[in-house]
Amino acid sequence: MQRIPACCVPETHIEIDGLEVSYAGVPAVRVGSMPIYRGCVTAIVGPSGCGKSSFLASINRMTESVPGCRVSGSVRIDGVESGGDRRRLRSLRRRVGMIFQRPNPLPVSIAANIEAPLKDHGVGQKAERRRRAEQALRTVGLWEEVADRLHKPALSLSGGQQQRLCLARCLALEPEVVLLDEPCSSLDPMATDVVEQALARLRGRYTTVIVTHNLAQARRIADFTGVFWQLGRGREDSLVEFGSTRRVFETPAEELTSMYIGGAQG
Amino acid sequence: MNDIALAAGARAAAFCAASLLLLITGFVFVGSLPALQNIGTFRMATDGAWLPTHDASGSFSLAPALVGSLAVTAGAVLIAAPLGVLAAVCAGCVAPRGIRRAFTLLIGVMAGLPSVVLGLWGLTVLAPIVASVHPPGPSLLAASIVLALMIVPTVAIATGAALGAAPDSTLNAARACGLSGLATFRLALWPIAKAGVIVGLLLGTMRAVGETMVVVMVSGNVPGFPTSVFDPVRTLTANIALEMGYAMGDHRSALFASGLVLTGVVLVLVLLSRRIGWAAHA
Repeated sequence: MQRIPACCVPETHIEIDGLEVSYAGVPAVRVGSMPIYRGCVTAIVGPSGCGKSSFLASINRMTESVPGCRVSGSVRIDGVESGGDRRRLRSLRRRVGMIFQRPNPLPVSIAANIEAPLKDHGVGQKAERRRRAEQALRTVGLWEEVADRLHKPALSLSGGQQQRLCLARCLALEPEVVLLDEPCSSLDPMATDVVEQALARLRGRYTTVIVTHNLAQARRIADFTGVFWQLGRGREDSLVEFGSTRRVFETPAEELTSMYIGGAQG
Repeated sequence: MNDIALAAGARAAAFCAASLLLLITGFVFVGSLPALQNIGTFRMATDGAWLPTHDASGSFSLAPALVGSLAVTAGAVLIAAPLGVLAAVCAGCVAPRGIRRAFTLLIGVMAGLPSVVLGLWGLTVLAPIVASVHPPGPSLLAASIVLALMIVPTVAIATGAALGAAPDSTLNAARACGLSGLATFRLALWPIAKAGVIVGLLLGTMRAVGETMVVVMVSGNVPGFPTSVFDPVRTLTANIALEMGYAMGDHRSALFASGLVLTGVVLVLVLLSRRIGWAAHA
């Protein structure tokens, strides 16, 4: 029986349907159907090159800026097809934030990293931008560390701090969905721990999708887990198995899943 | 064995290049020594006018030509900076790919255009237009415009390279935040490209300061302090080119001193651009 985590009401927020992402005509990932539940943390795990990141990038249409990349099929957020013209893309990116593998603060001050995007998205009042910046920095546990040097360059922060700043930048825009592409893979274990604590605070407030290589991390923080595998050799769908994290890890239904989990753990 | 030969060869070449530069600078310095001794830096700064063969003692002020050089250069940079930077931004960020390619080709051709050809255009097309606004035509303004055309490619190429240096990860940050084009430029591109653009501007400035042919053809060559942009001016470079053929004695040496002043101006610009380059990498 599938146990649903207590924190989550399993209400579909994002619906993937017949999605295929290909590069120069070669399909990289294909997902027939997969739900992403509102307010829950969904982990995407699988070996390198199985298309996890491409899958993630197709949700906020970051795929559109990759030359030669084509996306077909449908990604519906609250029942509305994502994508469209520039203006819709802009509002989509505001509603669906993204954190990358390598921290990528903008090469401006710490404060400007959060406040300038807000201004660009029409938050006109300076006091309101300040307030939201402080709130976001508190949510990611960075406020105490940077409050006295908000006007220093963001690139002067440590890797873990930069990553939390990127998360704060994303949260200040008040997204509904936060996509994380291996957000801890360039951080040391202590910085990873701090970032994970910040992620834990997102549960319930944001729909979170995290791609990770780290199965222990998926187990620690995810409510639901999707296991991906490379296409080819008869495999037509990248998604091997999807379910609550506990169910997937404790009683995997697919042989590939148990092999992957067992291999990675043993 | 090969490595040793290569290293030795490279060292020898570097030594040759460096010592040649020192030799030439030394040569210019030695050439200007008589002027420095007989006329003196004080007179060369304050004589009031450049009339080297007017009477027995002559007047040898380099100030009008220095002001001419600086004014023409400043005018050229003022025109070329916005043009070059905007052109590169447009080509790099806004224009579709086909236009981008054509633009890059065009800029390359423009960069290689011999300055005498530009001067020809300035003399026969631009100067009459300027003259129709305010005579005589060949003037500070005309020279600035032609020089600006000459250094626009330098500025545009440097700006293009600087914008291209912005890492993908930073651009992705801007995309993922759904930033507008202008905000992407201001927050993701410009902070990184800034130093490169300024170095490009300084390189352009150096070209403009050193350019001779264009200014000989379109600046009017009257040695004096300009009072408006329509006044003809003479630059340090033109001064040397125009008079070296017949100058003798102190006159000749004063032209060497012109060269020394030019070298000094360029040296300052080089040091400035290196400083900015270092500051950007620090």
